[in-house]
Amino acid sequence: MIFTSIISDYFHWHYGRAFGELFHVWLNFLWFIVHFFSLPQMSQSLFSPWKRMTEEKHGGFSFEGLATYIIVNLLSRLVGFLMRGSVILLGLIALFLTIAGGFVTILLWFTAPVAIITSLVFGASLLISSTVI
Amino acid sequence: MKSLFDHALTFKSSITLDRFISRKTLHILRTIFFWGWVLLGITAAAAFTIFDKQRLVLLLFGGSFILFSFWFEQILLFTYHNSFYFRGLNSIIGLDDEPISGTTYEVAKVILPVHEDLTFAFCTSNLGSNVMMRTGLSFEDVDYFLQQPRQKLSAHEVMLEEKELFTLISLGTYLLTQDLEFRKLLKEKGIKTETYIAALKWIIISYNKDKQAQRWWSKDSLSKTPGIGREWTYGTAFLLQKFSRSINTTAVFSMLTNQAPYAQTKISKIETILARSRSANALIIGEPGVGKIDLVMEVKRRIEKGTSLGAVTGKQIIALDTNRLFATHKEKTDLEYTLLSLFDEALNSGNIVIVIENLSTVIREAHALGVYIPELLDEYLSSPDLQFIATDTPGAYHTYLEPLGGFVRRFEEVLIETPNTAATVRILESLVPQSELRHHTIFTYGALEAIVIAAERYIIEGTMPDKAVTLLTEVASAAERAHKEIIDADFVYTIVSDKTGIPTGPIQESERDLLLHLEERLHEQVIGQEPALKAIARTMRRARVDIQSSEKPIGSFLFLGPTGVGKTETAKALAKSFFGSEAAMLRFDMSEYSNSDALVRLVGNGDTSGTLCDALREHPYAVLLLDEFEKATRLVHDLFLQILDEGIFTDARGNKVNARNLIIIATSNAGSRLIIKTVEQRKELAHLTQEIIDHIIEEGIFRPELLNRFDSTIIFEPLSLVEQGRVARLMLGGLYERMKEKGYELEIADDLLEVLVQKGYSPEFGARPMQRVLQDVIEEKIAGKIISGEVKKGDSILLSKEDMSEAELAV
Repeated sequence: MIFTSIISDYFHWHYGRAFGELFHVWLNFLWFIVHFFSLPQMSQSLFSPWKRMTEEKHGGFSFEGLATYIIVNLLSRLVGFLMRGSVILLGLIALFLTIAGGFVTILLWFTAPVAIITSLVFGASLLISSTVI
Repeated sequence: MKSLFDHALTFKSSITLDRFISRKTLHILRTIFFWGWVLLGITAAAAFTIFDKQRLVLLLFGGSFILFSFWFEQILLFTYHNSFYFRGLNSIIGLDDEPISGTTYEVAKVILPVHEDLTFAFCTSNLGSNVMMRTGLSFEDVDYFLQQPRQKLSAHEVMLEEKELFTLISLGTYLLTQDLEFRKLLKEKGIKTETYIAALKWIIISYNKDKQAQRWWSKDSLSKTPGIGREWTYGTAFLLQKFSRSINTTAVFSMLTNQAPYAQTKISKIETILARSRSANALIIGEPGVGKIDLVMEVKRRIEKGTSLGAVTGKQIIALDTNRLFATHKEKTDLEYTLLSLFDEALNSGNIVIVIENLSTVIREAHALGVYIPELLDEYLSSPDLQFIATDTPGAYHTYLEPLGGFVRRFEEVLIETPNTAATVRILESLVPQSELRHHTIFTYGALEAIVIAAERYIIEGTMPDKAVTLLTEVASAAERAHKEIIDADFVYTIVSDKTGIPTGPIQESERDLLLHLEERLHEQVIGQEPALKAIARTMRRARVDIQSSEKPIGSFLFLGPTGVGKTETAKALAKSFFGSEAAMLRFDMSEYSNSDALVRLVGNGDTSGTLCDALREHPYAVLLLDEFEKATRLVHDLFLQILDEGIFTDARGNKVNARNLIIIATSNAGSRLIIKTVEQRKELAHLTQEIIDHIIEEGIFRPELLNRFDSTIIFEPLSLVEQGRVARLMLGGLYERMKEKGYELEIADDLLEVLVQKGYSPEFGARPMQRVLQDVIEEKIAGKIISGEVKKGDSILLSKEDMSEAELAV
């Protein structure tokens, strides 16, 4: 009697409230990916110099000075772009996987009770087959 | 409107499941099934590719699938249980504004099995019995109470409003208001309802915090992992890192979350200052140990968590290691160069907040090398790309920083007051779990309150909450040594008494006897003065049971009366009775403090410390005797006005000096003539006291506000002839002892003593002339007998009236 009640309550929860809770956890993970890969900060400073490593302009004109100024600053920004770009890319991949993972989880959740029984029956049948051979 | 029982039924299935298979078992099974599934699966794959043994492969795959289904089933069960177990938690711990109604998993777990007797259900539950123990009720007390016939409260009768959330705290509070017998039990055991409520909140809130930590998938837990690459936009300050140090401390404040609005306000203020575009520097002012650096740490933690204000995001908080800086630089130019390079580099980084602890000390140390920090820092302080957080004590701030004017205005002050009792108890609450784990003891809530009260009142060194935290550790260690499992308030007071030497906490048998018979004890040393000693004893009894304010000295008296009537002797007797020895008396002859430099000599100046401060720091638990108090200057009287009122004063260096563990006795001869005259007229003492006080005020000897600050003004009457005789006997007792030590037995006949008492009697000068008479007549006579060889060691000396000449006995 107790177990019937628990099972009934469980299914009620599984196909009801649980979806809202899963969705909530999913949102938490999405927030975490954005936070962990610092996606807003990375995007805003995508072309900024790497760790402020820049060359100052010096008084007076010289080709050498100008070239150093341009090359160093360009290189610093390039390194910054590559590093941040990589993190943004990784972050977007992680974000995509999390979004996809969310959909898969929801789908899996629908089929979960059936999946458990199927897996159990299939496993048992394999065990039985092994004894027959 | 539904009943509590109906709401609790929502959780019935999950609770039944938990009873059948606990969360811990679920976790173990989940782990076993997972690894079993994975291992069998891998082995099966390996067997399939390598050995090609079909039977084994089928067996392993079969097992793997079965274990997978078990594991998956466990995951679903765990998720199902979590849904109920964590329901409403965010709302309860204040992480979420989402309205939630009904009840919680814990309440349902407590009431469902015994829903017809809520008190029984609560008291016998795990959390409920913990609350009872922390409240100070023993298991036996609770057990006995539950077995008695009593009116039972049913969960069916508790009706909940539509939007009401009934938590375990609500249940505990409900019992207190509805179960009269439960309230009676608390009263009988001497437990205040406030203590019960506080213990209840403490246990349930800590439980919820632990519960929250289990939920790693919550936004709050996930946010603890800092984001990557946030500092890439900013430069690296290599030199600063070389001269930086970790600011990890005991983190008293950072342990507090939503229950510490006090700390939260200060942390938010620092954040707001750092968020400004210019002159965004903070100066945190507070006594040592008040948690200044803990606040900085909390700001740092918020930045790392990503929960700080937007403008502060990405800032790096780095503490400057000034010790290393000064240890490695001995020349002015070297230090200047390093500091400038360090600040330039930090400025270029663009996101650095430099923390300088004890700013005034750093300025003075640098000044000793010829480096003037305020000038050096000035341009950096106004820069938007570099910020500073400095800390200092209020005393040092007033003495050294305030005079710097413009420099200090570059900082915005954040004043950290010493937390009050309630806030300090909450700090201890957060530290108790670690301490209990380390020392294998359990603190009751009463013990925490006692620690805070005792630390505030009896521990002189340090400030709150630091000294309460230190006392907590000492008490826990002492309990472990004494194999005491449960620490209550009595044990705390015992430890404090052992540490300080002054009686605290519950009155013990020997002390009870002392207090009840204090007059007799004082009479062993003081002759006569019946009303005076009674008044003193009354005040001291009041002080001991803490009826009077704890923010004042233990007791304060103004002794008025002619010289030689026992004022000083009474002070000595009090020191002996209360602090165990006459040596615990600090005597100040206030006639020495009648010049213009009197105050400076007492409280010191910037360079030297004051005599009063030194004396109180060395002997914080004592009788402070201020002889001839009327002779001190008005400024000194003003100082004592404050001491008598607040039990604390500030020395010239801005440090607080505690005078709350003193019995302060000021003596004065003011009005002695009037006392002698009125006593001669045989007026009532009550009438006499008021008359004397009026006279003193009229004469301008003491101001009325000063007289009012004393707990009691005690009039010492001139000694009568009979009392003088008893004084003489007391004095002779001392002489008998001394002679015995020398090897002679001395005895003075009554007839001789009678004459000598008459000879030494003086209402104006009290017992002092008596002392002189004894010296001049008796001691002189004995000396003569010993020198002449009339008496030898071991002999008895009996002196009577006949042994004296007419001149010697002349009055």
